[in-house]
Amino acid sequence: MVNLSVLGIASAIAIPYLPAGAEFRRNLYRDRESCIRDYSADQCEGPQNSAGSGGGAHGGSWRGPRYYSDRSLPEARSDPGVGRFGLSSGNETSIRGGFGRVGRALRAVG
Amino acid sequence: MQRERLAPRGDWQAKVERLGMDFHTFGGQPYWCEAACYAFTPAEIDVIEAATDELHALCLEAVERLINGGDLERLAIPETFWHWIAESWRRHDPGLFGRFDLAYDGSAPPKMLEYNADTPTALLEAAVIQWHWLEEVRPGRDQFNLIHERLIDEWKAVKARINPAWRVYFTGVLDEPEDLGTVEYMRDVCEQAGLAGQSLDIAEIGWDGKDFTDLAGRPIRVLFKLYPWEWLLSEDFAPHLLVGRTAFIEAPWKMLLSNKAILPILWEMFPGHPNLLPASFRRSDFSGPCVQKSVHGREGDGVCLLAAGDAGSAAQCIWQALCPLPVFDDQYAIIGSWVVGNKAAGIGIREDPQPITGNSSVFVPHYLS
Repeated sequence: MVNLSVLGIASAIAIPYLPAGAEFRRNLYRDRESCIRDYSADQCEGPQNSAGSGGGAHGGSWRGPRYYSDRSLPEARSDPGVGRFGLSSGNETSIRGGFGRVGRALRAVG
Repeated sequence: MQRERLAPRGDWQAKVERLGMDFHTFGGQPYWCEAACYAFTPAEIDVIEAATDELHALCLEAVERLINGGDLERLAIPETFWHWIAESWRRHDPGLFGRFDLAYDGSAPPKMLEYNADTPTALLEAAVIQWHWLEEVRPGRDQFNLIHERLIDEWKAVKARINPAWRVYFTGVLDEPEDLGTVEYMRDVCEQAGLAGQSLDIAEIGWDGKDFTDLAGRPIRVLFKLYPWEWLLSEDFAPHLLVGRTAFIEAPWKMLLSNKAILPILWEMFPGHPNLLPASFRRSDFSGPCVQKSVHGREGDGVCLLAAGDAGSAAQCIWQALCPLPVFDDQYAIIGSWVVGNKAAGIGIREDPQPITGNSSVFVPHYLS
């Protein structure tokens, strides 16, 4: 018997716009309170355990939400921003859009 | 092997959509075609199953030889990645599934046209849609189709090898309905195996200097990708593949088999094998008509029939003996024979009025007569 539990939501997935090579930051906090003051409780993520992976140098930190490093981008106007009071102890950066170029290009001409 | 015409179910679109297949029609023409079906005898299925198992075993032998030889230049794979690919083979990184395209008319031995070993599509329709069709339209009959159950088994095997708390990510070009349907189906079987899954578009994958990451910045430890390796290797994040900690499904070594250069390599290793077609890196090895294939071509792209005397192109191509597909009711039929967990697991059939199977070729269900 075939049991399909999640296929019904397949068409509901939305693909957010992500500029190729966009750099993002997340603020790091020594404790939850500092993070909540900069953002809100539901925007703060606790220290990552080994199962969720991560860890590393910032494994014990609380993390704020992701925001665009380049604050002059139009997309940055609707992201969570750099934090209200600047209480972070540091930040981590990530880059997106480094995969997908060929697939998008071929779809465009196909 | 016979083709039978029949009336489609009146509400077939709604039925297949309920099963997750909303890519059933392309350009106003049905892609899922139940105006016909194929009937196979059990003996014919036995032949297909045995040939598939045999071909997969030959392919693994070829990978072993290529890895040990240390030279992947003929596969047009950048040398930077050779060692990384070899390591994935030596670690036994999982290769979950693949699909041979076979030419088979019910009498002569099946011939391998190619092996879609990296990003095989037409999965949901083969594993699920045609099974439900069988239960409604040919109740009491059987079908060569263990794909769904075997995939769950394979994900359970993956679960046994990883930290079971790890989330498995599923990626592809997800605004393409067919890719999304395949990725979501694979996520579903993964979750039925007891793992947590999450989908994200290929462009949403991030890099934090140490790991590939999801949209929340979490490291991606296991990634199922419906996105060809040769594309990944040519993109901006490619250098990170060499240092990242992500386990990929399909494993990097599978790119050796999805590459059309495997066809002449197999012929060199096993000349005269009844399930292989003569193939070469030189057009001049064929005096008459033959088929030219781009080493990285997909879904019929880069495949052309060359007449005698037609030199074709030399750029990253191989040449294969011409083996016309059988024709039933003016339709060329090709058998997609699935391998799941190193064993033959079922078939799907594609039809086209043209001799080259392409993206628009329709999927037709089958049953055992």
